[in-house]
Amino acid sequence: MLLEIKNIKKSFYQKTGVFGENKSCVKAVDNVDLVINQGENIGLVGESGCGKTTLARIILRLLKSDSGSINFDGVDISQGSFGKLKHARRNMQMVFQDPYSSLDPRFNIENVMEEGFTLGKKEWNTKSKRREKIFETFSAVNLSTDILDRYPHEFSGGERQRIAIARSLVLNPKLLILDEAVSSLDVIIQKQIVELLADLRKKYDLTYLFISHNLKVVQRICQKIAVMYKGKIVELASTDDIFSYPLHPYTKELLAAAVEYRSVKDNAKIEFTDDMRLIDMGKGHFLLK
Amino acid sequence: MEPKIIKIQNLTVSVKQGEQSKNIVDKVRLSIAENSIVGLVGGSGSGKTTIGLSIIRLLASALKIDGGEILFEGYNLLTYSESKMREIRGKKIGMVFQEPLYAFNPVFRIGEQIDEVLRFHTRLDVNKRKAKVLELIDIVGLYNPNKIYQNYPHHLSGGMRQRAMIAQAIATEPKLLIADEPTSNLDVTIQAKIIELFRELNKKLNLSILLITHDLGVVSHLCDSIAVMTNGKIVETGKTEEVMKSPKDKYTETLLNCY
Repeated sequence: MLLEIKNIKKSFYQKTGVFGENKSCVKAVDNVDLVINQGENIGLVGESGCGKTTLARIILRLLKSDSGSINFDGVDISQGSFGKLKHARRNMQMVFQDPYSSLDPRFNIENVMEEGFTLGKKEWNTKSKRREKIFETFSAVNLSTDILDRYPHEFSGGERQRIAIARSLVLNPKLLILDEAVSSLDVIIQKQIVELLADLRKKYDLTYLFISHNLKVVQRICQKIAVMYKGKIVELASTDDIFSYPLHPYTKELLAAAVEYRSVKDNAKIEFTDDMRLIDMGKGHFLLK
Repeated sequence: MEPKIIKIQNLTVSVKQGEQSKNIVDKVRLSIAENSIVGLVGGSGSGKTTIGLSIIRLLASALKIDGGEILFEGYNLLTYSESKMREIRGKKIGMVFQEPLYAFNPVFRIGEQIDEVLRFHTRLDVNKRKAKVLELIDIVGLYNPNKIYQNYPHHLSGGMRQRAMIAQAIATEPKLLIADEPTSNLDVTIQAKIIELFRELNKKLNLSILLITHDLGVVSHLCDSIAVMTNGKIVETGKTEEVMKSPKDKYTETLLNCY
């Protein structure tokens, strides 16, 4: 077991009214449990605003959850100072959606890559060592090695995403969180990146948490899919099961839209109650009930 | 042969790079039959959007139309003066852009912005216009038209804004709608709803649609025929099913493999 999160909750408060006298509360992540085993890719799907990215940021502790525990590689990282988190942070990395804003325009590619070593300065203490590692990851993501003194704006979207992936790999992380990492790319580049991710996974023994609203891409990469809706995981099962026997009405709606480009008209309102839990429906197919 | 709403012949658009100029649309031929939905697909940078913008003559100043003609209702749009073009734009040809966030002016209410089209192109009085705008908001499937009318763009979500933009584009009942990646930034569930909306509009209002996209999935479920574009050239055209089933061009095949 690489990552186990339990009862994670996160709410955001919003002040409304002219003087901010009213507070409204949005439950972005509501009582989420999730287990990720080593080498098991999980796809997290759901519509925008359902809390996917918030959950990813909580796992990385870029955001602090209101309650619940996160156990990563045997260490509880939901509590504790920045120093304590260092070890865990080295082993989990994130690739962001927009390769145009995730690379600093004033950094050349060498600076970008060097930044990836920040948490591993002790081990990667000489420049030649780091260079060697950079070149190795570049060849793994099919980038040429003579780009070090160039700047992000000189690259296309697909190349930038490769650079972002290379940066996340230099410290040999165990878990890679890909937040809509291929959504902004066109289909041909998308396929290339998806194939690249499959190769990298074998090569570096990576585990992916792949966040996307594109079910077809998720299907290609992940063994398991967690469907998220309004802050809750409503269904969790193997990719095949989700596609062939979806149980939750929201999963069905999502599949109809993604596969047949059809919207479900008379979708009954999906209501949640506090005592709903993910229940095993057999063969590891979990449904929120 | 069925009558065509638009016929593009040998359209060439070039961009100047210093001394040299490069053709980004190269001798393109494309026609859209009345009442049909045509998908224009290709990778990013293939020149799809440039064709769309050429039709309504909204090209960036660096781009120049070097030759060819765009026949709309039998007349060449490229010979029209700017003032005449303004009568066509928005009235007979509507356009929906990719980015619903930037397509609206943030300081005006949604209703006012849809109304603007009617104010410019029709002679309806205030009350009739308001009624029409509310009707349009309803047609595109937004609930509570009165509230939406009063809302500012930032009050709406991406999908809602996209719908509002479609309402604006069809306000004057145009013959042709150019939709440039209308669903690429949206969730799959919202995307499905927008696709259904296009299908409905096509039937109800006899609207022809040029759908510009890189998503073959959308095209295969919506379009009657399809044109595949790469490097400024249209490499394959045909009925959607035929092209999807037995692509003749290599690039189309690559594109299909990725989908």
